[in-house]
Amino acid sequence: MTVLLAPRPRTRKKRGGSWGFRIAAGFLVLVAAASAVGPAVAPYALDEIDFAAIWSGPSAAHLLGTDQLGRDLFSRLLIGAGETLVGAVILLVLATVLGVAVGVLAAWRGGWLDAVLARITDVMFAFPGLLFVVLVIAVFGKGKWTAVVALSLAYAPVIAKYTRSLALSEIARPYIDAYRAQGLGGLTICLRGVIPNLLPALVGYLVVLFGGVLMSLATLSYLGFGAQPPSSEWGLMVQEGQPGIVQGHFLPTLVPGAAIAMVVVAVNIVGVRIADRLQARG
Amino acid sequence: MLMEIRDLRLSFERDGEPVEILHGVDLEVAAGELVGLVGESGSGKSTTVRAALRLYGDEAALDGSIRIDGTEMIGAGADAVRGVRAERVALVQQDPRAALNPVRRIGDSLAERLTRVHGWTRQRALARIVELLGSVGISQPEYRVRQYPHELSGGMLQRVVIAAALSTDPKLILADEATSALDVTTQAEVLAIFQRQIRERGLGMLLITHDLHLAAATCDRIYVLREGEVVETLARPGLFSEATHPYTRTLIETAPVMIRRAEG
Amino acid sequence: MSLVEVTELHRVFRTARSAADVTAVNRVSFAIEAGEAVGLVGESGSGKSTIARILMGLERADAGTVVIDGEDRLRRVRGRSERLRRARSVQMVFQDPNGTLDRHLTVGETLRRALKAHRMVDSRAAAQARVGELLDRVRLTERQSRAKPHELSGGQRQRIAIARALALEPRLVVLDEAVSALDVSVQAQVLDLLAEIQRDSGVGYLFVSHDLAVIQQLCQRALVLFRGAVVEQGDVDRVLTSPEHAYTKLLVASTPGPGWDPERVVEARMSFTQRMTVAGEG
Repeated sequence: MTVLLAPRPRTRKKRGGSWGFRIAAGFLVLVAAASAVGPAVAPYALDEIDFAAIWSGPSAAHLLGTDQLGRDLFSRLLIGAGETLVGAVILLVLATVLGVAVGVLAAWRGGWLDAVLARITDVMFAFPGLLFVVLVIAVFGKGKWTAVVALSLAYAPVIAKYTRSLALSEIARPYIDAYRAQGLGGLTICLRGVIPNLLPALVGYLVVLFGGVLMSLATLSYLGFGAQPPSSEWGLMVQEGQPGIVQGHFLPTLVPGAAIAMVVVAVNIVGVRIADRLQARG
Repeated sequence: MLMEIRDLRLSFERDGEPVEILHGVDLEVAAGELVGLVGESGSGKSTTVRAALRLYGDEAALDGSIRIDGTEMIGAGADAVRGVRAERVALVQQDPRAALNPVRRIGDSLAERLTRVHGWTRQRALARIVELLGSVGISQPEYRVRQYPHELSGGMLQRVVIAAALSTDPKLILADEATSALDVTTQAEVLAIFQRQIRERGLGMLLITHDLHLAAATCDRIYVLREGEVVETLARPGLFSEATHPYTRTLIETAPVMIRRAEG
Repeated sequence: MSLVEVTELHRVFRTARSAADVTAVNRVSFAIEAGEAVGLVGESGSGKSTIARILMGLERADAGTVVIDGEDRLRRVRGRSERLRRARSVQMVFQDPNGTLDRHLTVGETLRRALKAHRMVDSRAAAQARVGELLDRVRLTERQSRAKPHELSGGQRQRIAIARALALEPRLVVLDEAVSALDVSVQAQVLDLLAEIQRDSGVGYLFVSHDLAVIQQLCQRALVLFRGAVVEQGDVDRVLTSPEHAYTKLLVASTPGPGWDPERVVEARMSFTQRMTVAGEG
């Protein structure tokens, strides 16, 4: 067995952008704090209308300005943080639990079960995600939680497919045979052998997916299918700010939009680093 | 002298610090010789060969001298290096499936080298390939050239790779664990092919292997490599009694050898 | 009664296309006595790994019987306790040190879990002690037990794999090319260790390998396989020094050693091919 010393690929000399990591991580901590205590620390209430101050720019009274109803954007942002992010996280967790279960089951059992699940997954893929979600909502009604459940069903097949291929290569390794030789059952081996070992790769994948998930949820609210007024979920804020753009008032749309984008970027930076660390250790 | 390596040093950069992998390797291969380079994993044998072919880029710092058929490889320009690789030396590695394009027919893969690099016509190239495949013991070569790699067994595929190596009429062949992945019977046949080609064409060959007994039984001379340096050089007669270095003796003593009747 | 009795074992792999089915195991019969080391010799495609896996219960058989310790092993397992019990009689060491251990556990934990799954220890302290004994047996230290597989060398990982197999105190250990991927000096140490373990504990080995020299060193009897069939069997020294079957002669002739000449092997192969065609087995 020859071990060829693999030369390190030519990397740029910078130290992996650790300052970028720190900024991203710090930002996420702030956002998480906002999610937790936003409603408590926001200077104004969610629906505090002030017709005297509509569409005002940033000032001492309103840090990020106000929207068309005079509501303070900064406060709405803080209060909406929790709703936006918790929704996305729960969505991802639901999709992951379902997707991993299906993916690992298909990989482990193979045969007809794998074929059936593959076909179901393919149908889900072929169906435009948004259309599927709209359909679910048409049946079960609009609302934040319906959107979350519908989207998790839309994302589960994606995760299932990825998990299945990870699981297949894991199951091919001899230590799985060793577990079988020890007389352990399929469920035990999947839970204690396969899944823990595919977690590092899966986490990396989920991190990248989170950005898309956040966007999808925000888009649904933007379309009016998710969170409903007077909520200040960020996607909804973007939609509500739209009429102001033609009149030259950008902040009501820009502020929540930028917040969404920044969270997506920050999650990517931090998450990829975490995934790398997990891979190295595993 | 087909290949002369003198005081070869190679270092890689790891975490900003240079790490020396080869500490002054000396070896030579003359025409008509089968020379063995024996070492365990991590000894640097593959690294030496790859360095000789200048397969490392800027990430490796090379020092010393590597002369292949008179051309100094260290510090040579890209054209000179390509010329040596195209015409003077050929490499056969362990996994034949990694050396051949799986979606191309064998004949096309082998002919490409001749038509593109040496400007032959396709007809002439294919005729030569069929002839070469026959000479390495492949039956029905005219039929094989139209097959894909996955249709052949590992042993046959390695013969195809050897035929490809011979197609450019090199003077030197570097075989890096070329038989390690083969069945023992196939390995013996491939070595017989190597020996015959060396005799018939006056080639020189460097056989890199971890199998000391294989090298001892087939090579004219053996260099024993350990952790980036040659610790001993053994000439053919009395290979085992001649070894003096403790590492070589350990290798000899620990490698299980089959006891057989005198007639074999 | 022998420890292992295999009678007319047969396994055919059917390929999806109309291409010929592959008879991996062709009416193979042999026996292994308690405490005996038997070598299963063959090249690729000989069926030796398939036979090993059938004995372990990792592969099914199409026909024939396998009786280990009086129990019919080809009968479907009924329930968890029977599965666990079967694991206690035969264990396996696999070829590739890279995938043979669960990467996310320390090697000590791998051993502990094997013991726990079979209720072989009833307390943490007992588990610790037993793991210590096993490590001792394979000449590894307690400090090494806290390492993860990637922190150990190939030879060390194989020794843990041996310890894992021994943890369940089986009567037979199947070693499938268990030393083939190791460096020569490491290989020698592991073979030494295996011989010592056999002397001390009286465990039986089925040693699958293509390497005649290794088989000669470790085994008392040898079976030579060619294309799924046993072509010769007997005392290992007899088989290797006075082979009777043309294929065994070819194998012996192909093994490098002092005074070896590859071109004579080519002659041996030609006479072998003639023999096989004449006998209608080619």
